Amino acid sequence: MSKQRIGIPRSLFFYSYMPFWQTFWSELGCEAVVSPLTNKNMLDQGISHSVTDLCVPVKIFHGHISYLISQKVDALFIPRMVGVGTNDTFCPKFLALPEMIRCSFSSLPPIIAPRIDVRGPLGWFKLCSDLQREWVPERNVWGAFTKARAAQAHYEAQLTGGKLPHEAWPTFRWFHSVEQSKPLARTPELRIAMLGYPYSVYDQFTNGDVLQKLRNLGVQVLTAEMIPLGKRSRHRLRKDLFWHYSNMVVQAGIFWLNQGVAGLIHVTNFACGPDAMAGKLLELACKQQGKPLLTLTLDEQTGQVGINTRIEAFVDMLQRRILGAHNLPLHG
Amino acid sequence: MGNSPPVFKQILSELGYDVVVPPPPSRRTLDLGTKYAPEFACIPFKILLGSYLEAIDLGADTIISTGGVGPCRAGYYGELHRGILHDLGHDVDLIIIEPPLKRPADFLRAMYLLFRERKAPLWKLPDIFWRAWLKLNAIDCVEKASHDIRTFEIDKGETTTVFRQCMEILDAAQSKIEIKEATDASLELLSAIPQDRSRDPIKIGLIGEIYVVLEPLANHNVQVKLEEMGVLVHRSIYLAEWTQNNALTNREYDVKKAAEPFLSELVGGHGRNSIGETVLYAQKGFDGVIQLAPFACIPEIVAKSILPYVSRKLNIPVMTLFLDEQTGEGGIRTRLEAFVDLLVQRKKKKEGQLACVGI
Repeated sequence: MSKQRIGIPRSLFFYSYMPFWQTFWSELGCEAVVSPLTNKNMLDQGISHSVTDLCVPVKIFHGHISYLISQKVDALFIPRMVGVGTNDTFCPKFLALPEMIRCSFSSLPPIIAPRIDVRGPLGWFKLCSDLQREWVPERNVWGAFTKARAAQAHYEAQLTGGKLPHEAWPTFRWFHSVEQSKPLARTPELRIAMLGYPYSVYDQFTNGDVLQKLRNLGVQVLTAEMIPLGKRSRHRLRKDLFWHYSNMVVQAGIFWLNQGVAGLIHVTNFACGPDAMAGKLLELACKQQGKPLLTLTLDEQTGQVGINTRIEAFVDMLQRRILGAHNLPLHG
Repeated sequence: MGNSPPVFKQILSELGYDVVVPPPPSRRTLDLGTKYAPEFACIPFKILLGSYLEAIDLGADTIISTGGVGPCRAGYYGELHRGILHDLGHDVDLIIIEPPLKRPADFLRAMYLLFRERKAPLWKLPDIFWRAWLKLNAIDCVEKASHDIRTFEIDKGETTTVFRQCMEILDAAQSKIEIKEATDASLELLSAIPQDRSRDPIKIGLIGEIYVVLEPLANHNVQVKLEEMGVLVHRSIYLAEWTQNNALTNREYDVKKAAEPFLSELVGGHGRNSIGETVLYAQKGFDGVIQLAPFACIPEIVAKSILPYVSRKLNIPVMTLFLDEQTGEGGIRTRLEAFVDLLVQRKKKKEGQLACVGI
């Protein structure tokens, strides 16, 4: 029997849990087909398959799915992300993702849609063994599970060590594409925290590669993933937000503000529901500490030039503040 | 929210508070709220914030609101409202009533704050809440009756005038007997409106997010507009009924079951209900469904992305109206008229009255 080909979209949950699932399916003897970096064609495909009012990451997700369908994969992996052991859930769009995909495409390969609401290693193991029993019954789950966990731990260690996801991927055995980022142009003098959901911060296509742009300007970019969970969760709010990634963003924002960064960049998506709350909380936090905040709102209409100008202006302003010539108002 | 403020006013004033009732939400309320709210917060957030600011202008120093546990954003609004109001320099207390089972400590704290200064003795509390409950039900009952009649009224607008009188009568009623009498009197007034029962109207179900479905400012009074166009409108949500089904018991089982084949996961807000109610309306033979949702409301967007599929499967037209502070009266009216037109044509075609279709 030929290898089962399982399509994994490089979108949404990908940036947080990729090493785990990639390793898990490969170790079970399947071929994990990961869609390439987002491109214009995928965006267009995504837009044509989804309803108008969806946010751009979910539209892009539709695009990745449509790419994987064109690759004739045997099954699509679309986990229903509910909870990962914290007391919060994912955005409602994550909760209904398998159904939304099912209703948007007329013909689809089988969908592997486990409901991921787990606590601790035992929960993950149970989830994995259920998946294995249903989809690859002839294999043993234990090896795949331990290797997947090791891969995930290795990945998270690299992120907290200061690497960005696409810099951490080449260290994995399964990685073959060229996604190397260029080295820094000069020694960083400015530290800016770039906050947002992993699928907005790390998707170079949608955000116009802000990360690289900032580095070229000589900025050290700090993200939420670089903070170990234990340290981050010390900055909890009086009442937590309901969404996993939003809590991450707000806590990380407060963490980096306390670490004395020069300013915050909040990368968000047009009409993002949770971000309307998270953004305001960041704004209030920045105001309290007298630190500038730049909100980059992205959607399918966003042009590269507009992003560049705003980034450059922001960095410029921060540099002037550091030089002491900062009789500038907080909001530009 | 809708016609309910008098009920809450009654509860609080009987508890011994001086109650400030901000004027019914208006364009000014919305503008005030929009000014200070996050851009992509939904319209309920903006109207509430505007109302709070208006109430503060009128001298309110304590605001009572409700919390929640998500994943709909509304459960966090109280916290953020507090942050924004304090940031604006208003020294107000925001008492947020959290769900007692999910966040017991917060709930008890809110109850303590709420009853700290009450003047009514403890034994009176059940009576106060029971009468408020009766009144809420009475308001819903009268409103339902008005919706049954407006479609058939002969003089356009008469039902609305009479309904306003009824609300005044109900507002004045305090004791159980008075509430009962006021309800009867209101129903009598309404049924005296001259009607033409020979009409055969099309039937539309109104679904969506509870706040915009109930608040006329947010939805540009869609239900009344439709009824004045001669449509029979069934609204899926009434406040008393909803409270009973959600907060007190769990009786929306049939709606959830109807949604099951299309959406099995709870997505917060009224997302899953919107799907389930559409299925039920299709089964009951309604001609169409209108979904009302605040712009950028996540659960309703999830519902919207699944509804086209439901609509195809069950052969029932669904129109979604996303509402925000930019939504204009004219746009809403045009879309309603177009939708009603479409449904009328479909109905005629079904009944074989339309000789030539597709010209």
